Amino acid sequence: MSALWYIIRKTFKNHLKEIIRKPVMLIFYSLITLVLVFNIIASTSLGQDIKSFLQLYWLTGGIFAYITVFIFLFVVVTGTSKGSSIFGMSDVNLLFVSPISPRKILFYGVLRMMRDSFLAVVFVLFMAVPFKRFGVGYGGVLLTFFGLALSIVVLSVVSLIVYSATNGNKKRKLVVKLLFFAMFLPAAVYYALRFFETEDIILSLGDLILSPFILSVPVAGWTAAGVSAFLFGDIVSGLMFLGLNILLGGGLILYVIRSNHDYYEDTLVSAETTYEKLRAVSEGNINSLGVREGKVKITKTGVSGFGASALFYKHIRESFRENRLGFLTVYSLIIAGGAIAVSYFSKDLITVLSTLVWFQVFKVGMGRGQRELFTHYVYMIPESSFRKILWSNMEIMLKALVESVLIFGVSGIIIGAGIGVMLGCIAVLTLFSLVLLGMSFFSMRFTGMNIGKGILLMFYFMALIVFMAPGVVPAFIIGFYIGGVTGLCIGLFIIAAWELIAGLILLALSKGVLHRCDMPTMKPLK
Amino acid sequence: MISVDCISKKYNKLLANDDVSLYVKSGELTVLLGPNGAGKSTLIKCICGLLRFKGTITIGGFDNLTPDAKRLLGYAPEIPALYPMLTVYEHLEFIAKAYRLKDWETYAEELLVRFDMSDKRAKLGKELSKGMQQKASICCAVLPRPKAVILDEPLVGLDPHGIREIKTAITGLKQDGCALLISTHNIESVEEDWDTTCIMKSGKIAAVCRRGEMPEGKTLEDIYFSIAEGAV
Repeated sequence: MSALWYIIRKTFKNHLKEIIRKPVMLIFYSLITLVLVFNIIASTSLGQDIKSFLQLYWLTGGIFAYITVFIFLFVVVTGTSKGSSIFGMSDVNLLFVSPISPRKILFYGVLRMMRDSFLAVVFVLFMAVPFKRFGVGYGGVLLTFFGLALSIVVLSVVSLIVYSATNGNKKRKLVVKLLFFAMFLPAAVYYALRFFETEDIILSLGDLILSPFILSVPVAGWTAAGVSAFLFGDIVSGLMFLGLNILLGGGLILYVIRSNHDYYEDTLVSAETTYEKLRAVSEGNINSLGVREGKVKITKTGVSGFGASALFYKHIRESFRENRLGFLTVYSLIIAGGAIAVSYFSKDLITVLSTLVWFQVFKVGMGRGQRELFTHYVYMIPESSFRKILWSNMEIMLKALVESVLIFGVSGIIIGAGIGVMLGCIAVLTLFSLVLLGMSFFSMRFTGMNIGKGILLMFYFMALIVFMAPGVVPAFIIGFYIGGVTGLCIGLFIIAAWELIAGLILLALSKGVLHRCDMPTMKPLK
Repeated sequence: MISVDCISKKYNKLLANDDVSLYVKSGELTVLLGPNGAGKSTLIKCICGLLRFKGTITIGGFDNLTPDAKRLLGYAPEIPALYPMLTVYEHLEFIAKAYRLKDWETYAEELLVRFDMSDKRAKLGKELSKGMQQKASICCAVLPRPKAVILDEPLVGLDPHGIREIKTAITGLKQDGCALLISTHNIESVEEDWDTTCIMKSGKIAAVCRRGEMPEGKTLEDIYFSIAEGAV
């Protein structure tokens, strides 16, 4: 066991040393800590805001939905295809062949998994303010954090066992998938019946949370019921429901240990797949990242366009082949669904818009045009740099437009917002992508990509604030001065117009960017 | 055809290329030979316009960053970066469209036959083995019939059959009058066809060997090891 403790100790120590040695990482972690402290202080300064217990149902429903996604990913996707990612490739190469007991190695793997689980839900710690709005203090935030982390640990072990039981057996895989849907069936039927009776989404959700049907969904239902029981002050029920998770996880680990289960093989494929992807990315093949697994049905073929526009038509072909919805992905539909639900309940499009612009930062960064910069083709095509940049980012702009139309079109119609506000929101969100693209190339052009990624990110955000301010400030002043829906519309269109101008200025300032920067390489963290 | 004049490239404090100069004539194969970290890939990326540098690089007399130079240059990187959701043939079609090629289809078919990939034309990039990806990447590089071709470690990770196919293709390109620059750390892989070998060490060209001008009784391997192991 001393060898395993040595790895844990050394890994932790070396990680700390790395943070101290790299100023950017130190700044990054200091900022994270500051934001966390600020969050806690801000949440305590807000008054207790419980209007009704119904607010808690939203929180409980959120927890339920979040873990459900993980159940799907861990059990159905990972469990029936490549097994649990409980171990890394270095563990496979060094530990599996060592004379250390497999049980101890499994224990070490579970510890590793717990660390990763905490990281997967760490975002909850930063949600003190929204939790407070639901009438939940920081104790509730911590409780939710531990509840979610625990459920993810349990699901990782379930995934390991599902893989072991279904590996190479199509019928068993089908059974697991059917079981997955069956688990949700009683809760779904009960919710539908309650909804038809009450015609109230929130009330029906509340009834579901309080009903025994929620317990038909292991892990997700137990965690949601356990956390909300604690928040309602029912300690016994809380302990009981969260205890079910601990019992399930502990029981499964015990089963693996007692049955002398050969879990090495069950974790190998996942470890190798993850390792291969990270290696390919670090060696310059960014396209291997996030590739859809499994068989892809090829119906239409061919690439249109001529010169730089071939980049755009290639992206269209890739997008539609990767995903039947084309410009829309499952991820964007989830975001759209959430945004529409929030605007339905808040009766406000601006709150949704101000949240979605931040999502846009990540979406534009992951667009095909930005990924194109990591491979040589875009640099070597004999066309002007500006034309190549423009065409290679056309797809993400169209995507932003389609998503904006979907979100604000549907939300606007549901809540009865005026056409002006809807169009204003669509224009602001779509054109914000143009600013982000312009900013990205501007950062590349003036830093040459030959600086640390942390500093580059800081430069990017600072420049973004500087460039957006001349549009946002007058929009607010004029909007408030005029007031009402007209003021709101005018404010939105001022921002949109400025975004168009700022985006074009930034792109013009980035002229020749492909010749004035080093082709970037991606260095994954692990 | 490829002219590199006093190139220096720095990554922060690391001097990856230090005042490097070389010239590759049409119909000649120049080999960049050197251990890992010698600066071969950096030099190649500078020539292809993928990295900024100090100095002058021209392709066929044009500055390497101009569209005229890019039209004359083909490049296959060490790690073949294919698009996972495009078929092999669509990769060729994309290159043809992006380079505004005319009547490219027959040559594309020829390339697929030459590299034994005719049956893989409908396979997606993500479905190909490393060797197949490498061959598809080389097909993309040579489809525009460039006058200069740069291959970065083209034989790494290939099986003997794949190595033979690529060696045959290199010979064919040379016979067609193409200027070839190939980097490798495997001396044997280029022994048959090289005209000039630049041995790189620590970002510099430590020695230039020309076939027929080798010192009496010395092989390329002797010179390489004397440099790599620090005798020169």
